[in-house]
Formats: sequence, C-alpha cells, structure tokens
Amino acid sequence: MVMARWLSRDRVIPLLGVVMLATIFVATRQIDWRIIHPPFLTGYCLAVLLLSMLLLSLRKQLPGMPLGLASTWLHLHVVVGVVLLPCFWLHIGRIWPNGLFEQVIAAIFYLVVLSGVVGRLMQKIIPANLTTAGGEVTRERIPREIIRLRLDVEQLLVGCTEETGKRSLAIAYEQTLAWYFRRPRFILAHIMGASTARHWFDNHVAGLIRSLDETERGYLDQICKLADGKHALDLHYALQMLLRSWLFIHAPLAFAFFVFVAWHVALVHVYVQ
Amino acid sequence: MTNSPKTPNEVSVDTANHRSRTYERPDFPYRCGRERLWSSPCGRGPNADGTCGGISECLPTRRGDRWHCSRPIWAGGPCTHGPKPDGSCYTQRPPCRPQASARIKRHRASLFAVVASVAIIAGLFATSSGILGFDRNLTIPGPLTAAHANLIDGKRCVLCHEGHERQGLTLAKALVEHQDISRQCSQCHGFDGHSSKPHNAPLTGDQTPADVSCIGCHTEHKGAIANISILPDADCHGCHEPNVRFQEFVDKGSGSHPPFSDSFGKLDISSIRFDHAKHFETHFKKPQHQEHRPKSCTTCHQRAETRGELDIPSFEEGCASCHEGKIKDQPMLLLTWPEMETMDPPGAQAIDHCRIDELFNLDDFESTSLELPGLIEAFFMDVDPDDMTDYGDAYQKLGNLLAIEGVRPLADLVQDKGGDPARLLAGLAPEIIANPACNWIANQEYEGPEPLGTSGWTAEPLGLSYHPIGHADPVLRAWLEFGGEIGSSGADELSTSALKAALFDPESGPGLCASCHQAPATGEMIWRSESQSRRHTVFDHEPHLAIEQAKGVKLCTTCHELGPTDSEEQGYENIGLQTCQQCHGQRWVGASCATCHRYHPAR
Repeated sequence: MVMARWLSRDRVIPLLGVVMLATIFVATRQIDWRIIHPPFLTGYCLAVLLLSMLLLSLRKQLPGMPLGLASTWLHLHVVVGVVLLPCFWLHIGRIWPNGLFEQVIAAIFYLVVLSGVVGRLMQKIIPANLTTAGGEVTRERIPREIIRLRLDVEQLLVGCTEETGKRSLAIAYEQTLAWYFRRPRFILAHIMGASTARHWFDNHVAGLIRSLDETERGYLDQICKLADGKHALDLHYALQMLLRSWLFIHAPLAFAFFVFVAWHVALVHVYVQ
Repeated sequence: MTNSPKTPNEVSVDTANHRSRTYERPDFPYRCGRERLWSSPCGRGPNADGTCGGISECLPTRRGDRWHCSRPIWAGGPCTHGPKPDGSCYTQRPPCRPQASARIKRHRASLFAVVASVAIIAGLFATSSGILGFDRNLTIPGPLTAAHANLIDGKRCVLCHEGHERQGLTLAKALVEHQDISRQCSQCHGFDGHSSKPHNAPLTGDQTPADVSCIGCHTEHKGAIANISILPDADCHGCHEPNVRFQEFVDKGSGSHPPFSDSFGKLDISSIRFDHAKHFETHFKKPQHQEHRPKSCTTCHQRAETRGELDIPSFEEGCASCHEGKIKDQPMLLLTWPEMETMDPPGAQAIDHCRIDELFNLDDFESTSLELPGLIEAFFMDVDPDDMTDYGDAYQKLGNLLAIEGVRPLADLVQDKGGDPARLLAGLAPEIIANPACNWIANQEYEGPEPLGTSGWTAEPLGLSYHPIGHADPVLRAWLEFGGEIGSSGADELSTSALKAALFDPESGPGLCASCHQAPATGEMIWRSESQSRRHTVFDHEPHLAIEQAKGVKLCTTCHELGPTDSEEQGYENIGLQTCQQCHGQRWVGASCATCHRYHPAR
C-alpha cells in the first residue's frame, strides 16, 4: 500500500525521465562506436523523444478514446521535455552550435523549451491564483457571464428608474460604469496583480454616490455587488487568456522545430551517414 | 460551481440546470461573432464550416401538417409568433461573422510556422546554391578548420560529401545510401595501414573488426581554430572493451590502466646491442679511464629534433674513439689454400697463364701450405675441411680455375649458394686472387708486392683476406647479411652452421660487427639504431627531463634503472606502471589516453 502510494504518477514519470536520460548518457559512453557513433545515437534518441512529445497533442485530438488522463500525458510531455534539453546538449556537444542552420535549429529549440517552461510555471501558478480569486468558470463561458452581469445591472437600473422616477443613476451608469461592464477591462492590471480595476470602480462610485438618494444608493449597492463578480470574471479572463496565450508561441515553434529537425536529419543522411 | 463558501468576488455561474445554458464546446472551431463583440450570442451558434448559424432563432419542426417553433428553453423557449407558414423561422437576424476559436487560431499559427520554416529552409538553400546571387553556403554546420577550408576553397563540399551535388532521384537515394566520408579523407590522408580498420591495421587471429570511420573521432565544422585531432578519452572508450578500458590511470582496481608489459621501458632487444650497464660501470673502472666515463645518459643522447625523442649517437660520435681500431685490425679470411697430401701438376693452360717455369716433384711432394681449409670457402665448395681426401681435388680444380679466370669461378660458387657476388666480392681484383692461386697450384707461397693500403681485398701468401675499411664496411655488411639470411637444411646443415660460426665469431672477421649489430633474439642484422618502435604510444622526454632537472633529482635513471650487465635488455630494467603513476593521474598531471597513446600508428 505504501509502495503503491509512493509509486504515484508524480514520482514514476520523473523517475522514468531520469532513467531515460541516464540510459542515453551511458549508452553514448558504452556503445561500440563501430556500430553507431554517439552523435547519431543521441540524434536518433532525440528524434524519438521529439516524436513522443507529439503524443500529448494526439491525445488531445482523441478525447473520446480511453487513453488515460490528459494530465498524465501532460506530465509525461513535461518530463520528456526536461530530458530533451540535456540530450540536446549531449547531441551537439556544446550549448550553442557553429553553423547558421544549426544555430537556427538551436534557437528554435531553446525558444520552445523556454516557452514550455514558462507555460508550465503559469500552469502551476495561475490556477492557484484563480482558486484564490474564487469560483470556477471556463474561458468559453466568460463572455456569456459578462453579458449576463451587464443585463442584470441594466435590469437593476430599469427597476431603479421605475421605483424612484429618477434617471440620475441610469445616466451616471451610461456615462461611466457602462464602459466597465461592457467587456473585460484592466486586463494587464489583473495579470500584474494590481487592483487598478477596483480603485477605478470605487472612485467612480464615490463620485456618484453623493448625488443619489437613499433608494438609489440601495440599487447602487446591488450594482457594486455585481461589480465584484465582474472583477472576478475579468481576473479569470485575463489569467486564463495568459494561461492559453503561451501555447501560441510554444506550439507553432514546436512544429517549426520539427520541420527544421526533419531537414537536419535529411541533410545528415545525405552528407554524412 | 464549487461548494466552498462564496466570497465577495466569487464568480456566480449557474451550472446546476443544463437546460438554462448552452453547452460550451472548447474544441468547437468557431465562436459566435456577436459574442466576440460582447453582445448576446444567438442560441444556435456558428456552423461547423464557420458560417453564421444564428440567422434564425430556430429551425421549426413539422408535426403533422403544422410547423412548430423549436427554440430551446435556454434561449427563451418557443416564441409567441411561431414559424411562418412556409416553415421558416419568424425571427430573422442579420448574420454575424463567427470567430475562430483559440484552438483553430493555434492550428493556423502552427501551419504558418511550418510554411514559414519550409520557406526559410528553401531560402537558405537557395542562397547557398547561388540562386539569389549570393555565393555563401549558409547550411554548413560550422566553419571548417583552416587547413580544410583552404583545401576546399569555401565551396567544394563535394570533396568530402558525395551527396552534395546530387539532385532529384539520386538525392533521394542518398538519404538511404551509406556515405563513406572516410574514403574521401584517405584520398589526402595516408596511413601506414588500412585506413578503415581500427588503428589502421587489420587485427590478426580470429578477430574480424568492423570498419571504423574517420568522423567517429574527428568531427569537422567546429570552427577554423578547432583542433580536431585532440580527442577526449571517451573516443577511445567507445571501442575498447571493459577489460582494457582506462577509466583511471591511477590504480583503482579493475577499471584502471592495465599494467605495462614486462618489456616496456627495456631497450629494444632487436636494436643494436649496447650494454648500458657495462658502459656506466665496467669499462671505466680503471683510474686512467675515469675521465671518459659518461656523466649521464644525455652525455651521449642529445635531444633530437623529433619531438620527444632522444638522439642515438652515431658510431663516429659515440663509439669510434674506443672501437674503431679493433674493427680495422680484424680481417675476414675468405680463402685459405690448404695443406695437400699430394697434388697433380697444374693444367697446361694454367701453366701457360701463370708462366710457371718449374713444376714441383710429384714423387717427393711436400705441401707448402700447412693450413686447414677455411670454413667459408668449404661451405661454397661443399667439401669437408677436415678431410684432405675430400677437399683436395676440389681445391686443385678451383686453384686452376682461379689462376686462369680470376674472380669468376669464385663468383660462380658464391652465386650457386645464393649469394650476390657483386656485393660479397665487391672490389676484388682478378690478380689479387689469381696470383696466390698460381703460386699454390705450383706448391709455392705467394710473395707479392706490399699492398697499397691497409684495407680492402688482400692477397695473402696462402689465401685471400678482406681488411675492412672501417666501420660500416659494405663488404662485411654484405657477408653478415648473407650469413644471417642463409638457411640450413639437410645435408647442408653442418656446413651452414660452420659458415655462420665463422662469420659470426666475434674474435675473427665480420663477427666483431655482429657482436653489436646482430639481434640476439632473431639473429637479424640491425644496421641502424632507431628509437624503440612505439606504434601507438608516444613519450616526450623533454618535459620529463626538465622537471627532473628543476627538482634536482636523479635524471634518466628515475625511470630507466640500470640492470645487470650482459642482459638481453642491454642493461636496463623494465618500467612499471607505478613509475608513471607517481605523477600521472594525480591532480596536477594529465592522464588522458592521448597523453601517451596515438590512434594512428607512427609511420
């Protein structure tokens, strides 16, 4: 039982990565060079590892297939990615190659790795921040939720106007707060963790509240509560956008890397092998 | 929605009633265009092909003869107007422009990256092939070393890479064909052996080593100043089996450097014999010779121009002062006119040729010569030198022939035994051999004029001798080589052994030369002393001597310990692994394979 608990995914997959790397490293030292030269050995290992990186993408394309948890595949993807870096250095024998073509490949590789590391860090940090912010909402759902909040606010304004016979709150909303409820705002501030949005909203409410009577203030309080939800939605929107945006760098670069690697392999076979 | 207590900022999303909301599909390729503009999305959303699916609120369904509104509950339920009589929806809207989802955008970005990569690669190769007007290969994996770069003039990659100029189908074939770069290397780089075999030499015995490639160790395109001939230990470990793997030079058990052979460090027993122990200890014991005693090894062995080697002094530099005189004083007796029991008179032609006036008395014959035949000529004449009845006729016949014809009969005998008269009898004038022969067949001693010099062929009163002109005499050398090479078998065994004994006797004739120049183990004659043959090892004496001199410790004998005299190892003990381990393998002295070994054998 203890063993089974110890052999969790978080331990087994990294252990697998370490074994993989150690095997490749030892193989380059132990292999009979008359059979295969170490650069070719590490090159083919790199190729296999690179192809295995595609498995995550493939898994995502087949959501209906019983192929295990996507998170497990992601874990494997990350570990193989970590193994790839020393394996790459082992292959080129240095950190930065000499030739222009190889330098382009290396630059793309490092960018892919860097974007992957940044993405993985964001995957670790941002969901925790979102949980702290409260609630769970998918990225696709956020626009509808914002629209729903805006309709709720507009419903309150109609009710306020009907009850008090005054349009001051509605006019003030239209001139100031409507901009805020229209769509996600202060995205950069949310990403940076600043409370600019709350200050902006509180400042406008403070300026508005002096011209309202007691009934209108009651409605304004309800709008402020809805604004709390808007703050949370904006935070979700900003962070989830960030959480996905790194893939716009990682994935295209990775596919570009595959193209360059394929050409590199072809060159090696034509010129050397 | 989580079950945790609701915080002020918590997002309020109703997920309980699926009928009150649309089904979000993250992998759906398009999103409603109205939603993109932060307006209320339509209920139906975009179509799978990216067109707007929300022009109408619903697609009415027909039950019986009536059309019914099918607007879902989450979109407000069936409308009050209901469908038009023709079955179309009553509520029509202008179409939106659906937006691609993030996944589709990512796919498009990836596709763009792939296309851009292909374009970049094509551009690089177009540039490299000069299509764009440039003449620079941008696809090479790095600059060549200066020597190779000059050789290929910057663009002739095909000198090394056969596949470089292939096109079309042949280029495709090159993908799977083996490219043998080593063959291209060996067009310029020659080796003293097979270029594609390990260490350039096919192994003997049952071993059938696979071919090795130059690029296995020497990787080009590492830069103009890269030294691609200095290789890491890993390059050696790639082939060597664990039992001969040198993980550590210092003694750490099974992974250490294997011990040196018992002969390592001993002077090569197949080289010129020189007993160092005698020359240090024995020959200079007398007080009058003490001043000539060598102070150290470097008294004789100066540093050579060749890296790491020490000069072996020439005979003139190192030996002549003591040994030159004895060489000149030890002639080789090639022919001895022997004692005869009785003799026939010389032939008429010989009498005429030799102008013999008076013949000896046959009845009262008394041999002028009291010598026994020489072993050398006995070998050539196939006679028993101890049996007068056996050699008598042969000598008389030879004597007559030599008297008439001079050198030729002797040359014929030499040639019959496989010798080269041109070398063995070089410089032998006919009269030198004919005159003593004329006298001997007349049972007289030859009394010729005094020889002009003290060296060369000399007519003796009863024979023929050769006085060496000095060290490295070509005639004696030829005789020693002949004696060393001639085989003995069957009936010839005794005479051959006798010949060898005569030639290699250190007290007479060429045997003095053999005392230094004959390898005791093989019998082979060694004429030039060379440094010990180390095909795969290299030792640079210079830094070792410099260290010892700086430290003020004993010099060469730190490694080369004098052994017993008259030993085959020429007075030296072998060098053990521990001698080198005193410094190598420690922190301050390198112990990589290439420090002492070279892959390619010395030529």
